[in-house]
Amino acid sequence: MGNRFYIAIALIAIVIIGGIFVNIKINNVCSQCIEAVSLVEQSIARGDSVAALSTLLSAQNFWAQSLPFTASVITHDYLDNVSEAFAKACAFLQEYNTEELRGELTELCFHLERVRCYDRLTVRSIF
Amino acid sequence: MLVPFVRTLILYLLIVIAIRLMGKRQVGEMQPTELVITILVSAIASVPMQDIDIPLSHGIVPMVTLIAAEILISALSLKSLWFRRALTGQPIPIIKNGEIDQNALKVLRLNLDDILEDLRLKSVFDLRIVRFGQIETNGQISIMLNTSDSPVTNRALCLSATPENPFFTLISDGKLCPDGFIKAEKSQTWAIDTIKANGVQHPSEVFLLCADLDGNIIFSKKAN
Repeated sequence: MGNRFYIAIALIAIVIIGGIFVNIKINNVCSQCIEAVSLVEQSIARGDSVAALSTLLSAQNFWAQSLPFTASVITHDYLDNVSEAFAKACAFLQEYNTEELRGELTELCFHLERVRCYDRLTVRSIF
Repeated sequence: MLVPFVRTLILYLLIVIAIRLMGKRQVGEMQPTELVITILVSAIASVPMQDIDIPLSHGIVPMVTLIAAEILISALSLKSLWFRRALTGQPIPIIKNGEIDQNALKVLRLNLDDILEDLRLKSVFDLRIVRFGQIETNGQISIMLNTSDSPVTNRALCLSATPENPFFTLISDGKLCPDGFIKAEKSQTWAIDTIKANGVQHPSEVFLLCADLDGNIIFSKKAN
């Protein structure tokens, strides 16, 4: 029992520390993406669609790079929604369709927020 | 196709490690909590095995948590009698001097057929020969027969018997078993000499060789 007891303690510690690390990492990824979306909205308001597209593409790239990690801890449907929203927003921006773009950016923020709260320990998430 | 294959292999290995960590008890010997956790672990593992949209971690983390909790609870039960009683309950006497305690049956929500079936499985067909019986915490019945109906033992017959030592496997299907040599306190030279004395030249020709501490052997030659 001696060794097993310490293994059990170690496993629980790994799960808790791993969980905290995952939360921090996901929070970081989503916050950066949401911040980028906010910058895109500001650029569009200024009429600078080139800067908006550049920011959005870099945010999309950053999201794609973090996918291998996020996919290992978050249900893939959540991630697919974000990737899809990024792709649609980019397409609308390239077509200068600002009306549709605003809606899609709101949608993107909503999906990013869902991913950010996915593993957050709250009463709602537990029950 | 390959993704479920690899995921299944990973989860299989994890289940094997998990069950190994839980200990060597068989299903019938498990406490109710252990049984529930074993079933839960297999159920949890099957979900990410089938659905590749669910991250593997969603199967691994609950499994690891359950096993760790089970080990910690076992450790606590070892340390605290109160905790053990709270977790597994305690044995309840159900038969006294050949009579079934009907109140105990009600408490345990067992019917008469269950008890009689368990007794028959223990080769007891006449309730009157049972002096005492109780339902253990794992749900099995244990019984003590009347002295007059108990199997005869050396002590009852006032016989003194020399204690026998267990046999350990030295050669199994042509392969030497190092653990067996240590436990039986025998050397490989002794084993070679023994098999030669039995008409075999090489251990690879031996199907089974067991020995006890006194040097008694069980020998079986490999069939051609």
